[in-house]
Amino acid sequence: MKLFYSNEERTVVQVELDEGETLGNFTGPVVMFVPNDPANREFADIQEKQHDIEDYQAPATPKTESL
Amino acid sequence: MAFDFPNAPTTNQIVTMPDGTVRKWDGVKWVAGQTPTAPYCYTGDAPPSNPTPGASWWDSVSCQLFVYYNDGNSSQWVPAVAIPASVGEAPSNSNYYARRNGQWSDIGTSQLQGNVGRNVIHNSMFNVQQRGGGPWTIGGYTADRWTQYISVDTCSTAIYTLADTDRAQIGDEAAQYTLGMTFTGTTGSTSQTTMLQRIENLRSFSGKTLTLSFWARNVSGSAKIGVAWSQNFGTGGSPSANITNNFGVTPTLTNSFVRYTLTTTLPSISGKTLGSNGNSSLDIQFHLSCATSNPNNAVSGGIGTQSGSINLWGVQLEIGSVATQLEKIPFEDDLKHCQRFYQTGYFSNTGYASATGIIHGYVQTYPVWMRAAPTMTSSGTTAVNVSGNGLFPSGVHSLEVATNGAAIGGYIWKGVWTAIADL
Repeated sequence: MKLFYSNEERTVVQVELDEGETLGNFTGPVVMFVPNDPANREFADIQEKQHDIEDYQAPATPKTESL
Repeated sequence: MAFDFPNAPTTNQIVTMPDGTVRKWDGVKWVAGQTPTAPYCYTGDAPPSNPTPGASWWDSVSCQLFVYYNDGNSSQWVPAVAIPASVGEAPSNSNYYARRNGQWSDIGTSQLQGNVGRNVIHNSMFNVQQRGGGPWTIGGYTADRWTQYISVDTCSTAIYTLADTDRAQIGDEAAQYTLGMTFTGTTGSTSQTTMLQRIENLRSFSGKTLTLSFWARNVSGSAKIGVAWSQNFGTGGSPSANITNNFGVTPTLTNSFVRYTLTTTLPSISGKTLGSNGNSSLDIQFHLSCATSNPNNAVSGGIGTQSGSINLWGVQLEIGSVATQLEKIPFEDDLKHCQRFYQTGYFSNTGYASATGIIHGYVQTYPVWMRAAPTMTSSGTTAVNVSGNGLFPSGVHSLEVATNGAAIGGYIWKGVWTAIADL
């Protein structure tokens, strides 16, 4: 199971479940985007089980094409 | 002023003159008749003495008109208008009654209190199939709001199309699909097969009398269905422990659809604590098998280990002590109820990346607001020149589709999104 924030604001967690792993109503394999809403069953499960969430990885610095 | 008699009168024809007197044609000539008077009707609390046949009496007590009638053998007062057989007043209690065929029937309070949408079960007829028709062989959601719990046992659940013979058994040609479960129970201490629906907001039902009705049949085997209710106080903070009890048990199902009805009263939750996450629910559990050594066997009604194949249709849970007619809401309304918890749609994020490292995105709104900000998944995707993408739920009403171009040039990310806010 891999969890990391998928935006800079940390409002969404990207979760990757391997075969047979479960989170909330889901059973892996699956990739999903979980909002940080406590009413969301998957996010409540993340909190309850105190899963570690990796930091957001920003995309590379914009690089433009030279004219 | 001269009176103009009819030109071709018939014998005994009567005409009224301008002065109120009458003339009758005797076949040859017009002869004088009696001056009419207003019909006389005796009015009183008791009938008049020495009436003659044809006399009328207005009973001032019962407010009923009687005629003194000779039937050839005797004379008596008879009602001028037929009175239906009296059934008396409805029972004197707080319930509401309707009269039909000379009898009073308790119709419960729900309908007369404007409780439109009295069936709190979603997808009661299994017409909504956003997740497809199965088969589902592991625990989790199946036909939209219906979720199955399988522990140690095996179970295959699917939607099946009903035939005319099935509709005849049900007695309703609206029946199109049935939820079928083929299961093999085992005897372990955690062995269990249960189909359930979690109904949002526990408060709506606590302290109330509830009636559950549904059609079911055995396709094979000789199973009973043990129904349980569970007051689920949700998660977050320090919620009270769930309270679960038996709702009732059906007899052994027959091979034809039969409507079963169970009634129970839920305890009040006054003084209890709901979880802070806002996800409390009333769970209605249909136990198909539950080993005798499983602690849940008691709330299942003691059905024990069972195996077989059953069909389910027309599940209704309503407030009140009587099972009313199955409420069949329009499909689009049924769908909206389900979409509050699960919905799906297409997305397509295409454009031209003029630089790398820049996220391109757009926002789209759900057709129905969801119970909570949903978990998003994507499927059937096509990705061209992208180095990262995401479906970002933005509250309960919209999502943001975001794509990061891998290189300068055109990019595509498209597919199907699914938003899940199930309980």
